[in-house]
Amino acid sequence: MRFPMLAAATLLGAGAVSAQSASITARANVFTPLVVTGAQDLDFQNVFPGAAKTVGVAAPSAGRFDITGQANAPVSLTFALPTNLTNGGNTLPIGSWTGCRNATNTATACTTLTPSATATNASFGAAGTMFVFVGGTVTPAPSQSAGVYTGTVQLTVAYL
Amino acid sequence: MRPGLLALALWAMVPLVLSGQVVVSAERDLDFGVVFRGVPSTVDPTDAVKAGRIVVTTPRNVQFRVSFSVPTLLQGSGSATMPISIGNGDIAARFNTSSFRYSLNPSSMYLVTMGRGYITFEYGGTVSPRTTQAPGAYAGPIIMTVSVL
Repeated sequence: MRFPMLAAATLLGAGAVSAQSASITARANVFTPLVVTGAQDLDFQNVFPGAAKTVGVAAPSAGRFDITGQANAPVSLTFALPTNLTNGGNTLPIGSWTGCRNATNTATACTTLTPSATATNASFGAAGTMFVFVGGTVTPAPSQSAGVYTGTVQLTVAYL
Repeated sequence: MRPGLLALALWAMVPLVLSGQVVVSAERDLDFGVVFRGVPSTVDPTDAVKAGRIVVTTPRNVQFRVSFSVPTLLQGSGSATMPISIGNGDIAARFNTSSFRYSLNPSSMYLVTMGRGYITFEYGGTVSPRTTQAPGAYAGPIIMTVSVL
């Protein structure tokens, strides 16, 4: 029985009868790193006990994330959202999140999305920029304690 | 068949037989996919998706030597380049359906003795994008030469 053999050739005395070559390509695609910036806070400003208040995505006080990356590349957008804003031990419910994205820094004619922990897929435009606007609703209780309430909205962006 | 036509047919077959002794086929590129500035990326030669692959098929007992030419830079748009390393152990060879892999060094030359069948050469490596690497597609040739002895 013959076994195939492969050995480093140090002595190459025999002349080749024929030779042929094959070529493959080594390739890589360098992407621009993703940069996500929390550009503007979502600010409900003054609210009053018992009176829910909504800030829409096109409002001047809507939250905004600025993203730069590889032109035309697909990405996923995933949010970590609070259910309450807090002030010490006091809480202020927040929900009914709204969102939209655009290739330019305007909420006009933007593409709506629902901020959530479930990823939303999107793509950069030719400029490699994306602006994500975030709105929501706070619902102060009739007995809501006065004070400044805050929470963190986190956006994670990843290439697909 | 008339004798004249038979002679012509036999003559035409001779080059096919000779060139059919060993067939070298480029089957798949070595594809690192998406990489990022300043972050080296390695493809193992056993990677079933990204590793490059060249197959040598022999119809009979044969001995041949194999040599490699690998790039040290991938070429991008304009004058942009990106370092790539395909070194010792980044090429593997498997006989027929065997799962055993011989680890090869592209700077060496190898003598192969085998019967009818095929040998698969698998290519991995590492690209090292610079921290200032320009975005875009980069590519470079990997050439394998088979000399039948």
